[in-house]
Amino acid sequence: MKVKTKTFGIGGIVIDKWKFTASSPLIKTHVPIQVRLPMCQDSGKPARTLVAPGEHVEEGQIIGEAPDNDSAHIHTSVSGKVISVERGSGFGKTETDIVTVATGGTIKNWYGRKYDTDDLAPEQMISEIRQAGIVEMDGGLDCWPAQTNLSLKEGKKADILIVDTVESVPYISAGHRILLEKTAEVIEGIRLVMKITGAGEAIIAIDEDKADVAGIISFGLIGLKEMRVEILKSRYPQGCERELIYALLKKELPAGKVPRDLGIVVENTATILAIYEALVFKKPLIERYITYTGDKIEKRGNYKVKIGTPVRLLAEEFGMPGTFGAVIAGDPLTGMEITDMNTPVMKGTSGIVFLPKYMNYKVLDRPCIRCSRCLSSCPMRLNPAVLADISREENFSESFSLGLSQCTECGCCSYICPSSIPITALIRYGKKVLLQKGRNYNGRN
Amino acid sequence: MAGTEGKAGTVVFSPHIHNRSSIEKIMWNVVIALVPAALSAYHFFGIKSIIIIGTSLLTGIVTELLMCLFARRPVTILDGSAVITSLLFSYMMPTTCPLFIVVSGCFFAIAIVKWAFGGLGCNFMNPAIGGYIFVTAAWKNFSTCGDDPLSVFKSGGWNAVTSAHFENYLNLFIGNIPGTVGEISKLAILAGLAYLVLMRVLLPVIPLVFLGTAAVFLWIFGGIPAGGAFFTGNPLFQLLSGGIALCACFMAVDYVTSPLTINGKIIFAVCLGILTSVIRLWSDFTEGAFYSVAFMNIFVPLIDRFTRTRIFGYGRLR
Amino acid sequence: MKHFVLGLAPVLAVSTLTINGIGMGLIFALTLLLSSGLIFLIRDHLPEIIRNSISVIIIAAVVTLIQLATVHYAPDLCASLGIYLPIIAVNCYIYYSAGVYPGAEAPLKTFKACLYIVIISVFAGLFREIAGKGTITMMIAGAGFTYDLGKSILKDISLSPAVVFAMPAGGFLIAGLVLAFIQHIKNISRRNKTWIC
Repeated sequence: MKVKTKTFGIGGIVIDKWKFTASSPLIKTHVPIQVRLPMCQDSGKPARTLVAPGEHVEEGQIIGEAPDNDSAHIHTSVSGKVISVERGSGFGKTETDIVTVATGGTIKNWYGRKYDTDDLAPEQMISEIRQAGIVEMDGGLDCWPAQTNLSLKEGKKADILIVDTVESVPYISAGHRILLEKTAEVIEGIRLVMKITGAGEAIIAIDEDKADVAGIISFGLIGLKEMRVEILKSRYPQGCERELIYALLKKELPAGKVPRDLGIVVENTATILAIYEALVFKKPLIERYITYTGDKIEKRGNYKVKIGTPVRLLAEEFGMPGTFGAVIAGDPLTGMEITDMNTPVMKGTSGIVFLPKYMNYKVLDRPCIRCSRCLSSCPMRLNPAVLADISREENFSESFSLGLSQCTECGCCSYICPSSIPITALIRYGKKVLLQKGRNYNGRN
Repeated sequence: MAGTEGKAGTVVFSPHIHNRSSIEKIMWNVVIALVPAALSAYHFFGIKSIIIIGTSLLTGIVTELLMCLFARRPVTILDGSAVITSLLFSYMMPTTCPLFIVVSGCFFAIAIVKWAFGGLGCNFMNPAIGGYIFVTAAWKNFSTCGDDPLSVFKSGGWNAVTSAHFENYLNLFIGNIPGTVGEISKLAILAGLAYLVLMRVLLPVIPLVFLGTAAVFLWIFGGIPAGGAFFTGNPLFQLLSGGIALCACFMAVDYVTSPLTINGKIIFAVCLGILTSVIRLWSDFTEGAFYSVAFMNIFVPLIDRFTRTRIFGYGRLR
Repeated sequence: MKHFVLGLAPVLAVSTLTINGIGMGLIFALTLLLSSGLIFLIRDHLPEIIRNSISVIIIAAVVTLIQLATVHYAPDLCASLGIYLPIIAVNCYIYYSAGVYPGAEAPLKTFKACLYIVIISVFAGLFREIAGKGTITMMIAGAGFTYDLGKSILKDISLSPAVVFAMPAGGFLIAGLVLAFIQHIKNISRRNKTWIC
């Protein structure tokens, strides 16, 4: 039977996926000897530190309190003693406190008792999710807290929930394995999220490389008429929420609006699993599944690590290649390069990738030859070369009609530019300058 | 490690991988696509054509080197763009052309049309065509050849063509006719275009639409200057003679001076086809393709402005 | 720099021969100097309203005087310059409106403008004739010489002159290159003065 696959419109790039770990099962790692927890792991303001050096903390205790509803609480992932609270650079963001906890003490078993969720109202569920500090776990450093995504306006219900399992980025396969091995938990989590948002149906979006999952999920969905599986082509920015909504529902998200304004809620598999564990086992977000992969690593695979584990400890446990080009937190197209091996795994890190040396990519910044490859690969149908030009010259008089703020920074344009112009970085800089100066800035005052 | 300091501020940029494409790969592929035309020139004209091509290449590379040093930029003679311009310019010269004309034209094309306007990526018109226009304005008798099939048709009509035995379409296609160095062999030009499409350097939108529009226009209006009726033109003869094939396949498709979007390319190619036919039928010039490309290159920023893509999420507003 | 380019049209039109270029440039510069001097002398004594009109009249009068002088002393030059001699009035007015004349620095600016005009016209005429015809013509009022480069320097090499430089297109090319050269020299001197690379 030929399966009809859907896709988004024009644009996107076709790249090798290098999913070496697609068949590695989920394995729990050993508890690390120390964890480092930055107080700002999402896109909101940093959390307020509640502990001081020398205090004893229990696993799951809140050590950082979110200042408002747009941030998430920080919990400690191990029991032990707080060694230090120091100021750090926040890994590309503003300065925050970093709390280092040395492990020692009891390991809690979260899965002993199941709590009943049938008589919880949606508002109670959202407050429990907020209490558990859950964020959108595929967002890298700038992820939204989950409560912003799930709470709709007064009295409004969502129409549809889209579960985003399309991992169209290379190397990362943790979501694939979660869906394969924890199918029952994910389906229950989807049901809970549908109850919270009031959605009438749910679509599980999978890309065509994960054919083995589609069969298992369809088997698990027997009897549940409101959930269905859709298969999408695996071109690169398929995981971005605007492309997903267009591919599945043929609706374009208007500029300036978020999906829940249209009644659509988009959630990630790892987030749904975390929501399930928060509601059913009352477990805060202290662990996540990541993909530890790269060339020439003996023990690459998908692992369940405690949030806050320094990458150095992971490298000691699983091995590290002798020479490598770069180590990336996240995926190589949108992730951040790790320069310091003490960087911890944070709530939004989806993987640790060791890129080989032959992939070293030098930004040459040669003149633009107007080949228009960036134009034909931009999934938002912008003109990246001209946007990079106006960002470089800081002349934003045409930025609205050229759509500068519509860029989702997917990286397709920089990937294929023959002149190696750092287009994505320039557009990011331009967006930052435009945001600082206000929307009517035209570069001349 | 994809990191540099600079305008974008942060040390680390994403994306961290690249598909290894580069300007050199594109340009040298185009040079390889131009080689069959040089081989056919050697086959039909002998060593004189190779001397012209060689002089042009040497002048082009030396000029590019001098201009890079003068403008204090990294030396880029190895990226292939100067080689393409010199080759294309030499393909538009007849074999009887004195060498000083080839040298001056190639120097003008690279130093003034390309470098005086900003270098690679900034020229407002195709540099080879700029050099061709300079040379035909300056030394009209030496730089045009008067006995190619198109000139014979224009001066004497179809009778002159049959009496000079140019009506054999196979000869016109393979190149067994008088003409300039590169434009005689349409077979070689088509082979080059096929290679470029295969290596995904370009989509053949502009050549097909250009030649198609010119064919239709010349079919409808071809007989009128000689006093005939509508729909009596000979499009096959018109397309296979003169420089229109060389121009459509290699010069109108230059990245820098052609529109960005596919709609823009179609508009560009239709205007080119109409303009070439008009110049061929109703003006004193024999070959209108090069002048029409130079003319339309000036309108490309305007075409780009009016064929912008509709941005995702903007709806009808702009 | 831009107002220097504005008034160059008559120079570009006639400088197909060297003597035409030199003659036109000198006549233009002389007109500019005379009219600028006169206007500078009397502008403080005029009320604001009629300053422009009086300046136009002065310019027109100076041009007529110089045209009459040229017709008397060099009739063949006047014949080859043709209509472009009276058009110098329009170009002088362009310089006046662009701000070269009025103001306290008028003498210095006018002198610089005249210098540029003479340089550009001499070199434009020289290059255009050497490249366009292969000769250097310096015949005025029947006296002077015509130097044929084709016969004297290149006796055996066969080069032909590039006719494009005798056309207006060539004139614009040469003017552009000469202006670029002048700007390059200014850049170098500015670079040396202010120690900026």
